[in-house]
Amino acid sequence: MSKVGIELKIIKTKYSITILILLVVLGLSIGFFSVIGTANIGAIDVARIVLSKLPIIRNYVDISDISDSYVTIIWTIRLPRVLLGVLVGASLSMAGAAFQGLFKNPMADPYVIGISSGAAFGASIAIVLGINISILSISTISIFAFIGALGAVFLVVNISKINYKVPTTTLILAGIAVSQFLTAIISLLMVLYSRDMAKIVYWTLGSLSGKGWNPLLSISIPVILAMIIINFFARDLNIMLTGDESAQSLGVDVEKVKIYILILGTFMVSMVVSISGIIGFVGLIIPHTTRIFFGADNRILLPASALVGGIFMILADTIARTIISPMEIPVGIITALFGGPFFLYLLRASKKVNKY
Amino acid sequence: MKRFRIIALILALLMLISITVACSEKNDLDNDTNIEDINQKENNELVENDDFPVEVEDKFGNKEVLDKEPMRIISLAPSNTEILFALGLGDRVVGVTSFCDYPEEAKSKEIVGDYSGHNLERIIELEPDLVLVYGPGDEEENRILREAGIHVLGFLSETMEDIIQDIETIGKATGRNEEARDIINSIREKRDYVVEKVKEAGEVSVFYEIWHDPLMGAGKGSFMDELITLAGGNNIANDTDGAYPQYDLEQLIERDPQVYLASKDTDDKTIESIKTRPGYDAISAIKNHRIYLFEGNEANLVSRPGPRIGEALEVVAKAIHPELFE
Repeated sequence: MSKVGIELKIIKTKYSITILILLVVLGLSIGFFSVIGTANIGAIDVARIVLSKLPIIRNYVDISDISDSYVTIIWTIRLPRVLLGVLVGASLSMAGAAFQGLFKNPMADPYVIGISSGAAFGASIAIVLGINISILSISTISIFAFIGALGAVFLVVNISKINYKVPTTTLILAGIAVSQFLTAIISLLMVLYSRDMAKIVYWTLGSLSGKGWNPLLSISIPVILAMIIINFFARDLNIMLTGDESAQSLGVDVEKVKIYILILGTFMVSMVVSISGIIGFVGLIIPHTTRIFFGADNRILLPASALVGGIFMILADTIARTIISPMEIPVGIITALFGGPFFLYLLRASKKVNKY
Repeated sequence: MKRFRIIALILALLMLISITVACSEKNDLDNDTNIEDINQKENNELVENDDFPVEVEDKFGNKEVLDKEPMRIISLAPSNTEILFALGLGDRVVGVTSFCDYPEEAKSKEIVGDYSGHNLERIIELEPDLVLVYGPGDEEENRILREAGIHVLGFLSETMEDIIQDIETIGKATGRNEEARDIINSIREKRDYVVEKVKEAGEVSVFYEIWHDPLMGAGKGSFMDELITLAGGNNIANDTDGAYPQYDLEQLIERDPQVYLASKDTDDKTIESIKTRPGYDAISAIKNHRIYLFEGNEANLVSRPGPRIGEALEVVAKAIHPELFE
């Protein structure tokens, strides 16, 4: 085997180990943060409650000594909340990493191309119209948010398309313009339908609280699939960092890759946003942080961002729900309060950040 | 150079025009006030109230000296509107907000404000003597109103005693001391009646939902907290810092309220929808069908620090101790 071949193999092994370690850390975090909570329930009881709900094993676990309300707290409230946090953090971070690479712009995050304002617009329409049809136990608001997000991104991409190409600058500009326009319509809706204002405001605040299992289960499979598929474009993304034209000459169908990544990223983000509302900052800082630690190679950056994002999100949400119990802090405040200074510290400590 | 001269000339002309317009506007205004003065003199002769001039102070430190009885009043909060109507001043209310829906006559009044702000020009144009703002109001708006010669008082109370004081203050400012006293007495009577009624009953743990997604409750210092306590309930959220905190769902289930109160603030909030929320089936109030959803008039009652606070207390007490009021 040639020297280059061996080096490549070493890198691949290194990446596999990194992902494996991160997976283990994520698993431990899920366990750890599931135990932490304001209700005074011990770690062993938490484990017993979870085990008692699993098929086959449940026959060997007896939880009759644990009160029903504790079982409900752990199984119906806390566990789905933690898992939803993982999914939300992972989707936002992974899409953020992919978009930063795609746009070659360190400021890009999943919201820059209109996902958040599109989702908020869809949600506002559903709230104002008061429609109430739920499909697969996902609320109408979520469905409208999802449609709104996809619609906004579709609009942005089409506006910025010039001769079948999607130049990055026009894409970002169109994204900002469409976002502003939709935000203005949302404000107008709030003025016209002041009765529904509170609902719109709270939806846009974002929260992981009280969603239960159903929405989580119905979005997790498509979102995880999208996450896996986006990894197949990591190599193309790497090549595209050298410039669209040289990537084209190296055999990458640049425009197609752009559209695929846009669709996949938008899909996963709009899915989770439709459940959680808009949670800012994660999609911006996690990819950068991950890049500082693991390098700019998208083959490691994309999956590692997802895992780090998941861990960060449940850490932030655990703080949000426990620190001033029985009150809760909106999780978006924690992600910004906590992530901002840490990110600035990393920026100062590392010069690597410029290599996106 | 010639062009500059022309521009300068135009600018000078424009300035002159604007000054003239401004002056003539002022004259108009003076004329109006004169007519108004005459009107008021006539009114004063009709009413002959010797309580005036009177000095009143609201809880935000606004001191106002009213020389004569206010004949035109604008209310910028539903609770203030209710107090004015209860004092028998409905005819004098010339402007309200889009939220003022009680009593029925309030809906026919001109709307000069909603949640996004007030139409300050229209308020001044209506030439009120007195404007009752929501809470401390907006400092800049208050200043403009005062400069226009309008008295401004602000009211927003979270306790029963404070509401009683507000009614007293508004009564004093409008020359309706007698009526204010009657309202206050009936509130006190109602309160004593309810407190007496629930005295023997055991304490019931209660949660009042302000919002559901994210969950928010009525905490310590809120108007609802006092109503629950007076009605013989124990508000499980009364150890919070804020009056309306976002509340931890796990704590709700662990503290297990016996009665769950909420207002129907959206069409899709029903007792059924509350029951089906994840985890709620473990709460005693849900298990025992003790969810109480305030609708329509009841929802307004329990959310407004106004003259119907006594009735609000009774509504809450009936929800907490239905067996005592059968």
